[in-house]
Amino acid sequence: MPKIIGIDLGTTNSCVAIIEGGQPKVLENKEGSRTTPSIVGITKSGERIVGLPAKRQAITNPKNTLYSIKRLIGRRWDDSEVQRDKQVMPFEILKHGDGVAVKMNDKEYTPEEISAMILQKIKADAEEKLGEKIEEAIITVPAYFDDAQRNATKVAGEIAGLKVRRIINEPTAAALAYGFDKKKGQQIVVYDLGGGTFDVSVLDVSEDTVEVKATNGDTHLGGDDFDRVIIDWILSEFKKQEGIDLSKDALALQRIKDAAERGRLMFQFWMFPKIQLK
Amino acid sequence: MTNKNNNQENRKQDEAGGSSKEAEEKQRCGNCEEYLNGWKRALADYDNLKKELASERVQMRNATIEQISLSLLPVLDNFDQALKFKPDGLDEKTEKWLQGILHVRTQLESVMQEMGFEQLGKEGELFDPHFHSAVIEQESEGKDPGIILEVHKRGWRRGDRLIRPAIVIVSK
Repeated sequence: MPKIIGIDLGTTNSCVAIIEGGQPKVLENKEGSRTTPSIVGITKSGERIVGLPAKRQAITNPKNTLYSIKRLIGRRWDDSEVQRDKQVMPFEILKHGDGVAVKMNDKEYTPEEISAMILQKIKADAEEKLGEKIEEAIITVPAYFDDAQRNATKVAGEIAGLKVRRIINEPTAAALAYGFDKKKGQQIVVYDLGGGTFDVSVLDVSEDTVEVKATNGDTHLGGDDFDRVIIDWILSEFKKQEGIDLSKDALALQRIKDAAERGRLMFQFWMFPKIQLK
Repeated sequence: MTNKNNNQENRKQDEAGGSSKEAEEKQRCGNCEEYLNGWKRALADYDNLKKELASERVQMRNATIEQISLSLLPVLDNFDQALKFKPDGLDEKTEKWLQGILHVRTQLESVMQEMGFEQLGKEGELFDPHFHSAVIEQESEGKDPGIILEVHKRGWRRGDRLIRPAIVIVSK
């Protein structure tokens, strides 16, 4: 039986899994990571790159490096989120009918097309890992996504050459992955702290359905913000102890950024992780 | 009359015995085929398991080497950083001592090479996001855009696996 992949198409990172022996198993991408940055870019030589390579060129080629596209998918041009992103994103966001488009290398793309590029990379990596063709997928979306956003996500999957069997809510997928569907008749709270968003949902798990009773959160709070706070703390401590301001030193900042991220990840093992500048 | 009946009964029993023998034979054949298929499947599974184990052994060995290398790379980085701040006007004795220290670095680099690692990122090369990560873009006279001006941290790859991209400064 051909395998169906489950894709968490995230704002900052995306992830793909399969069911093996009744349990979900995350697949590593070609680069050996369990997550793929949801970033698409075009290099100065015109090559399209997705994931980590795209992230690496963000500083030298910001206009042609698209990220956080999930914030735009299925949105209308006059949505406040679109207008906000238009001000802060380094790439161009344009009106496209009632919706939006983004510009990369002087060419316009819809958010669905950009998301499809991420999904294509995920599909290709999964196929390489599993050694077989993948044709079907289930894609998760935030519980607060409306019909237009859900439909646009489905379209992205289809552009990527996937038959989207179902679009399911992210908190529902999390509950299923943790086996909460086996304990019927309970209400659970799912906290989803991603790279750029934070969602909290209350789910009602009954005999054969998982219903999202309520959902809320902060669409601009995630691991990246935690890193920023840790970076600021390191900078101020360093200034206090050594009297040197490193905030303008891009190379030092890069080392501090790496250390801050490593430190944040260590919170899952220790209450008081040690941050070391390697 | 009685004899006739007995003969008929015997025939029936013979027939019944024959058909039950046939059924037994059929079942035996069926069982044989099932056992044969099972044996073939087990052989194929064993063959696959051997291949999987062999590939897992290679993967585990590679993962261990990569993991060790990730701990060793900062040592090389710090050597590189320390050398950037080498004081001028060292006397002959100190210079010789420094050469000795540099040999330790070369030795470490040789160990990396022996383990199949290859360095990435050289000044003057064209920036390639597949192998380099840009931290700063700066103006540079007489240089085309997208050229590596400085390698802050050397990158490494092993075979077709990128262990770490080179951290570089690129011309604008």
